[in-house]
Amino acid sequence: MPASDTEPGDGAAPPPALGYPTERTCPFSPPPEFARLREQPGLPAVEALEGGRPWLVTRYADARAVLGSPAFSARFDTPGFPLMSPSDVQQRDDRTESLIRTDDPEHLRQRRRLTRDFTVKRIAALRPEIQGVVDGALDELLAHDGSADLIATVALPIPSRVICLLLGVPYADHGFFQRAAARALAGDSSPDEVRTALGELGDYLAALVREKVRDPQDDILSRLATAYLVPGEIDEREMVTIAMTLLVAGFETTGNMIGLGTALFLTHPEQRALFTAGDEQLQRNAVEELLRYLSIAHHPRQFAATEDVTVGGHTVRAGEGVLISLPAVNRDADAFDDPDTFDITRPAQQHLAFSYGTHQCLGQALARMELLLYFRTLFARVPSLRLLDAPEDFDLKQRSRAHGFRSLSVAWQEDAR
Amino acid sequence: MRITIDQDRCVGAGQCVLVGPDLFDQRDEDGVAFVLTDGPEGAAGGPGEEHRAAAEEAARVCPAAAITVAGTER
Repeated sequence: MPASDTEPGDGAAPPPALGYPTERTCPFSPPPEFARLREQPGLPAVEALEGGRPWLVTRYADARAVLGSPAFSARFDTPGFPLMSPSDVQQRDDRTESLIRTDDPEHLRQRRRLTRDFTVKRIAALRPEIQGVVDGALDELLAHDGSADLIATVALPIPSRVICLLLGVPYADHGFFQRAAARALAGDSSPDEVRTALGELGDYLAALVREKVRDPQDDILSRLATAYLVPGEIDEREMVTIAMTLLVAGFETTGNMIGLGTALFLTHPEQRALFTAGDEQLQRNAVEELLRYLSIAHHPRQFAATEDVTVGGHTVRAGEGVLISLPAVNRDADAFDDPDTFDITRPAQQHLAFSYGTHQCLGQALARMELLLYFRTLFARVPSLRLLDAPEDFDLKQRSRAHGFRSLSVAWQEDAR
Repeated sequence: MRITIDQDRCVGAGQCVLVGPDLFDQRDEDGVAFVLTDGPEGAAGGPGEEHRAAAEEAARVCPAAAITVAGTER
């Protein structure tokens, strides 16, 4: 049988593997290299730190096929699993058992311990509290002298305060856990730096969990400790891993979306005008379009095939790795008309910014609510908000797992309230 | 129109509730989705055709592909 046209025949040297694309030419868009790869037939091979030469998925339909298939394993110990960052190496070596690196049915059993706290209904009930956090952060912003760093004053504090409230983590410790998480997630940290950062965070959360066991409060960590840790269904190490996942996923991601989304609206005044004039239904759709367009999960989704599967006309063999770029997938013209245009009126609900399949983001209802309330309140209270830097001077994170700003200078007229 | 959910597959993402709040809800204890029987599904023959767009959108965005809308091609 002839080899497919995307596979080298016997004796042919395999084409050189690409580096995973990281260089952005636009702060709001994925590296342009992805657009070129998406047009090529088959799947390109890319370099991994360990785990062979995984295949890279950049098309929407291929991504849904992989993410929805039980033939792909998310476990570090599955043969061919591609390691892409120092943090991956550290977690593999330390045998960290996280939800994202677990397969069904075990994954779903563990996930269902957490889902009740993040249902649409539960998050809707928290709307007044989240609105209060947003109002407080904007009060702090406006207490500055007409200009401030949006990331430090608003973008990180809003999701940090909300997740602290939900989990029962003292917000006073935010400086510590934000710095530790940033070190753990940075693409240029060494495995030792990642290990140290996660170790400090783990020690901190272990002490907090023991406190929740002794003196349970009305918060998620207390509930999990009482329901699963105390009866011995999970041990302290597993409990700490859950706490760390919820905490870090809870502020880092939404913080990036707040920063990037604000800059995106401020550079697209006609979209901002539509948003402020729109009803809540349009504003909810705008949040979906922000999620699609910005797709902050820069680090690829990682899997290893456990059987031979055809993806995009290419046969992925059992024991080979597959990577999926969610930012690339969300700019596929086969799934979204005019995909590189930011348009809050387009149908965007089917975006994959929260991924797809059994590992789709657990906290998505919370993220949506935070973003909706933030943008509604921001433009109502600070209509004169403007950027101080030109897009080419933006202070972007470099090679981080999640795309976003390190800082973003904004200004407003002093008579704003 | 008949809507069914494979609850063994449901991952509790809540996407169906977002796009079809009149048709779907999530269990308090574990976030697993169910079809609202005190909603249009409770009517004889299930929800009317005016709910089809929402039901099909829910099936399309469901990350676990757990929702089936009877009488449509998926």
